[in-house]
Amino acid sequence: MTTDAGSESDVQKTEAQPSPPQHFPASGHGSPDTRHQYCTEGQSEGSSSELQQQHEDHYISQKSLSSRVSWSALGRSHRLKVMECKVTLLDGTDYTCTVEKRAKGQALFEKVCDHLNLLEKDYFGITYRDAEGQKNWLDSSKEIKKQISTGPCNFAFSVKFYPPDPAQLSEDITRYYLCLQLRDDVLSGRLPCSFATQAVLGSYTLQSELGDSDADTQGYISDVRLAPNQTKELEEKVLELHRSYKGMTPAEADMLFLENAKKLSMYGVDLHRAKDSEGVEIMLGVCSSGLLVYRDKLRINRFAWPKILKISYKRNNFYIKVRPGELEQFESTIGFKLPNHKAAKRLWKVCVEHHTFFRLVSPEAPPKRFLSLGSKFRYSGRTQAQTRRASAQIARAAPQFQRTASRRHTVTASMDSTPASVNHDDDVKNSKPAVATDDLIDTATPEKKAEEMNSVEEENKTNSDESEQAPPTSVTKYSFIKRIKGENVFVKHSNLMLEETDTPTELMQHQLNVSELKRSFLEMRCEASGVNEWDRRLSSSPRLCPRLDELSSVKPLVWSQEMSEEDKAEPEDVAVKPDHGVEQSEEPVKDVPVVQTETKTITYESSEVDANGDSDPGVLMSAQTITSESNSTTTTTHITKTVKDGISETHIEKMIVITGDTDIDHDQALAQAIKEAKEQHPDMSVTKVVVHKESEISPAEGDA
Amino acid sequence: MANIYPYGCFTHAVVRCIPESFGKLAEGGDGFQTDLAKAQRQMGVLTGALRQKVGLQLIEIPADSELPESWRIEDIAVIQGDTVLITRPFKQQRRLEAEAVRRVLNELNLTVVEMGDEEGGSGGATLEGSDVLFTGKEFFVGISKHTNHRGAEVLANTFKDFAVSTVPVCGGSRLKSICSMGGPNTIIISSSDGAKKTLRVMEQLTDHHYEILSVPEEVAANCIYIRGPAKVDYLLHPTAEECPNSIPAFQRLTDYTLLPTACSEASKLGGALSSYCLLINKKSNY
Repeated sequence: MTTDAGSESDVQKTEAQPSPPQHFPASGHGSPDTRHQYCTEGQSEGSSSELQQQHEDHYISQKSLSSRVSWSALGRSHRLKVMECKVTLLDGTDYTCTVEKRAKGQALFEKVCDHLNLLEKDYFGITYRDAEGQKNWLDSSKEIKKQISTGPCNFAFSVKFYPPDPAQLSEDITRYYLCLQLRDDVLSGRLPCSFATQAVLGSYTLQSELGDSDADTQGYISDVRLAPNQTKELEEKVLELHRSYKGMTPAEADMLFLENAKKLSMYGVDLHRAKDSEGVEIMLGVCSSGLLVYRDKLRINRFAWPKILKISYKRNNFYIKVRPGELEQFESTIGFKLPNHKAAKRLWKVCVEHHTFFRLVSPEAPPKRFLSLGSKFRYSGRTQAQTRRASAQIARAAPQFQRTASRRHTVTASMDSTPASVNHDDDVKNSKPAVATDDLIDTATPEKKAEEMNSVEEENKTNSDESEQAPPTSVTKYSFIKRIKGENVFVKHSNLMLEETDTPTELMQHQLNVSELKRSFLEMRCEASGVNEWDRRLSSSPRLCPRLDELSSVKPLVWSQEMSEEDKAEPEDVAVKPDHGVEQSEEPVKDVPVVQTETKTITYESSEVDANGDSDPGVLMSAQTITSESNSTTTTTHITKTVKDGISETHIEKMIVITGDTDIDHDQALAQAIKEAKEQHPDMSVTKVVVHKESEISPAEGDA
Repeated sequence: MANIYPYGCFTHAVVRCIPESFGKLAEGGDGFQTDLAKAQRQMGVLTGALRQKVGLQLIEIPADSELPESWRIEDIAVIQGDTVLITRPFKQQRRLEAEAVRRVLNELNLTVVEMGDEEGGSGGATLEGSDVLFTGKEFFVGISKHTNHRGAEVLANTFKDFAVSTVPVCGGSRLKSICSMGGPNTIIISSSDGAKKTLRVMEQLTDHHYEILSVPEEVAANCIYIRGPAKVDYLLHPTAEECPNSIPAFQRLTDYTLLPTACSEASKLGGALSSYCLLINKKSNY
């Protein structure tokens, strides 16, 4: 999540250190000076004068904890301002370091990861508490100071993305930190589990931290916190199990811990309190597979990431737009009410980040056919692509580290344990008095010019946009539909599960033409894509066919995928614009009950495309076309150089045709194509991608 | 997590003999003449199959004519691993059936959790075992006439490791009337429109993928699947007489030992094969 050019360059950076990583406890022990010396030697940040500066900073800041330090006394040459940050680590200890006053979240994050000797950083993040006491993720691309505002610099290092398959992590130390986080999750109640599971997890914890069971273990166990309510019975069970693990290494114990923990239903689920459109209290859970909806601990709905087309928020409300189901024609938008605006934004951010991070994990199973026996599901085995690629490049020997008795998890240091669970916002009462259900669902989410808070629509924008659209038609016949606007049918969340799935024909016809489809390059995480880019790109809602100038200024977060049911000749439908790579793929056989051709066109556009429109094409200097072929791929590259306003621009247009059978994973192919394009032209950024998929039912090969 | 075996690993079965008053309080409606002797014979075949063919330890609770529906023991408890949740059936009279069942399960050293009565704080929660489908990986609770949301909540609180999802019961009176497990990863479901609707909801809510075996006759949707000691897959299913068109579907299950078991009398009362027994896995776990 946090790392961009990030993961790869970080690996290199660490490996290029003049001194090899020293052996030191994973937890933050050691005198400040020792630590500081390590930092000084190990990192190549800044000039030597800066380092000296920091040394002095550190000394002075030990005397006074004020974060504002002025250096007029030292002379005008060094006016660098720094601040001290305290980060609570996963084992409960605190790590204090200094960063520049205007440093971005990334800087702090890097320091902590270096301190922890952690290379697989993508799964982790830093949280801070806001004025309301709520935990927020520190945005790595924004200044720290701006995020924490006037609060103290108190942070916590936590797992942000729980890997669905921890066995695939490259390093044991990563698994160790994940275990620490999960132990805390069990203790705090964030991860409910049965007595039997608590016993099993506890036994692996003992094995990992203490090694083989011996006479002392019995006395030790009461000091270790293994469960929210730790009974004698539990301790006995833990000891019994522990005895059977003789010879198990700590790494093995951690692995088994994770194998058990990952199966728990609340593993990696980030809960947010909310209300559905009827005011019923629910919990929204964000996890690797999608968005879950709970009512009283019962799962009442689930939206897998691939099914979600758009995620947006407005004021206190959070919306998701989902693809129509098998028997539905319309996309639907579901709204939830959060306690306050901040909570809505927080939820939105978390969803977007999870969606991005895990979207490349595994493709959703093909539409489940309930009449067939014989699974078509194939887990591709790929995971968070870039992270894993970076992880695979980790070439160092497994770092030695000590699993110290975790302070957080011992009874004596119980002060450190983090309070339970969910973002509990007490602001529910303060939020606006009952917004009428109609208003809640109907709020239009219009396009907006790129702005930092792009995702929050102003009131006036709403009004002006509403007037542009067709007046809403209220349908009285079917009570579960409140309004129809444009292409969307807004449905009451609670009725979703029980509604009639055959939508009546009187409803406005869904526009099946390809509407503007934009998507930030999720694969392009290496392009400094922090969340702020999403802020700018997010727009809710392109309903109508876009005009090009709007296209360039508004960048929605998630794409809309629509299926058109007519046959379309492929090449004509591909939008040909400068700065894009075009990929087409084909699946010759697709098993669907109705014989038809399905065409999908998706357009992705990055934020780099500014309103360049087609205003001044410039002077064409040169043009070149190259064709290359491989087994299943044909690539046609068209390069044009133009001079515009004295600046030479090179446009590269690549048309990649991939033919093959259903085994091709298109997301992967797309990611691969983009990656290759970038590798070939590192100075350039891919600004637009149009994916055109045509799947034919008949075995006859269509045209590429 | 602990106690996670693929679905189907059972070592014991608990049944309750058919009482003399069988069929007297017809749930399914009037005019359903049930044949007591036939019902007892059919149960005998079932218990014989479980004991001799599959190889389970069978525990038989004596009949009680004061409790005409006590043979539907499935409703009284939900069991997973070492934990039993004694339910709170919709009908007041049925709650007395729990007593004998509780005793037996305690003797088996299982952890018994009570749903409790109204005063005990269950607050109007009702739950019947035949509305619960445990797939080995998660629970589906059918919200029906007999089982409400609060009852499902109690179940979720009892089995904390698992996701518990609520689904509407369409096309049948209980969840198990329209679907059941047919393998470690297989759900057998009726092909009626109502059942399809329930299935759609289940598929939406789950994180897992299941094979779906669709059967044309509703009665065929309820089967008992057990993976026997020698890793043999057993499926007890209604007979060809009861569901002729569904037999080919069962035969598609590769390497299964099919055990046709009649349940006509139970069906008349809205019950099914699975109603007859509680299945327990008493292997020493971990």
